[in-house]
Amino acid sequence: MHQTPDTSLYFYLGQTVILGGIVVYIASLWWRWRELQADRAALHDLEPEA
Amino acid sequence: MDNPRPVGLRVVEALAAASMAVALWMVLVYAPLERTMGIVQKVFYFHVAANWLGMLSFIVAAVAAVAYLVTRRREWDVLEVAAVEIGLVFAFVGVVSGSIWARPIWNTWWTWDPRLITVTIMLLVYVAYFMLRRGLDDPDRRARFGAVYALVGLVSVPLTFFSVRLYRTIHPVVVGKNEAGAMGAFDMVADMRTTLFVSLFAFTVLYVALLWHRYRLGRAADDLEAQRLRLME
Repeated sequence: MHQTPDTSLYFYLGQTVILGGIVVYIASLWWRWRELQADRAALHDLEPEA
Repeated sequence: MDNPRPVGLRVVEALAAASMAVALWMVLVYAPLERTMGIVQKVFYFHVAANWLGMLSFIVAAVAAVAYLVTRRREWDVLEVAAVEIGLVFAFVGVVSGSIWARPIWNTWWTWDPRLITVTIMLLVYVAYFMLRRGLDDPDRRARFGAVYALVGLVSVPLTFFSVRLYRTIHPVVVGKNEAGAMGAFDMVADMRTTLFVSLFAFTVLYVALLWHRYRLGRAADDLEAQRLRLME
């Protein structure tokens, strides 16, 4: 009788890599937005009064 | 925040989150277990979706490159960079997840199979895209060279896609598995096919949301740079 192998470790590892990669990329986008906002605020402080 | 997200982007974000949740549920619960490979076969749903987006994104980059070369508008260059960056992320997680699937199925993490070789070439071609851009200081020159490179680099996409049909390979063929020479294919039952299509849909919506965000980020960075230069004058 055929016995299906237990490959769950590799399945969860594969899913974690894909979903984890996407989450890390989203976090990097969020981080870059934050940096940009900080730079923008710093630049705004340097602008001469109109 | 100075740039509130447009309504359209919020809708796409919500749709992406909902469809990704449905896709994950289908992979974990709905899709049946494949008898020979066991549960690791289910990596296939997100693996195929990730690789599909990698290739789609490089095609989007090439379209943006053509648009830039014709119009010379900065927006197209920003879109092109966004598409290449996201394409690299998806292609990379696609390769790594494939390697994890291969360990119990092929009994090795990696083998120099034609599909694996062509996908590695594709990844390296697009990593080099960013190296090229970093080496050019003049923004116009950077955009022009980047656009030409993104067009030339596109050759690696069909080469990767068709490698499982053109060469002898042990990589499974999903699209066109009934063609002569398609090796390593497995039969998908209806529930598996449905799960695959839902995964492809969910990842594509997620891609639209990510591309939109990355484009906005690029545009905002451009605006900031222009503001900085104005202040220095």
